[in-house]
Amino acid sequence: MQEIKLQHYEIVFLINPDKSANVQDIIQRYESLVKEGGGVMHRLENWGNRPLAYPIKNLSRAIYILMNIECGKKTLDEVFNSFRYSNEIIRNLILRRDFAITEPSNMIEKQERMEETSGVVTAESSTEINE
Amino acid sequence: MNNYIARKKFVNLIKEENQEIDYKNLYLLKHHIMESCRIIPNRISGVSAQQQRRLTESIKLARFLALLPYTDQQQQR
Repeated sequence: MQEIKLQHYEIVFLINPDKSANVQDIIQRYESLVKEGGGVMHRLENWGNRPLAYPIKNLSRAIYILMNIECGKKTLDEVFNSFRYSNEIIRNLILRRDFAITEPSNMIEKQERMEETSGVVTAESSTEINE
Repeated sequence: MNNYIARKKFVNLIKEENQEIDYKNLYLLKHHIMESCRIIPNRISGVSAQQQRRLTESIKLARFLALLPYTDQQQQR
């Protein structure tokens, strides 16, 4: 049995808000992909429907998902291929990391800070799943 | 060009507020771009060369993810 060398990756991808009926389904798909490959998902964040700084594919908003995973190369290739052939995912970014990151990122904290200071509760709730 | 203008005081957020240089840290990145969305050179901001390289990389990643604009000329439809 060959040992799979697990490496840490940070993945951000953007989902077309019109096409995605259920964001949870998409997230579950990747969670199961990673688990089947013998990997671990360290951090999973949904930054919600954010406005884009410039239109991508004529869209002005997109749903941002952040994943920190530890997996082998084969699993990463599967994930990357699914991004390429997916109709809902319009952009993705995969970065190599040296270690697992589990703390909530700046984007989630910023939303909470903005809610506190402005006193307005945003309609979109940021969901954060830590495993 | 910029040498003839009196230097405004530029706060080094990385040193003083201990901000992490990360493409997700928009608070820090927005501090280092001009109104025209161009990256501020470190001879004006006073940031070290190593930090400027990492900032530039983070800004370019944030631009790719549409967290920051490439230019202020782009209009939303």
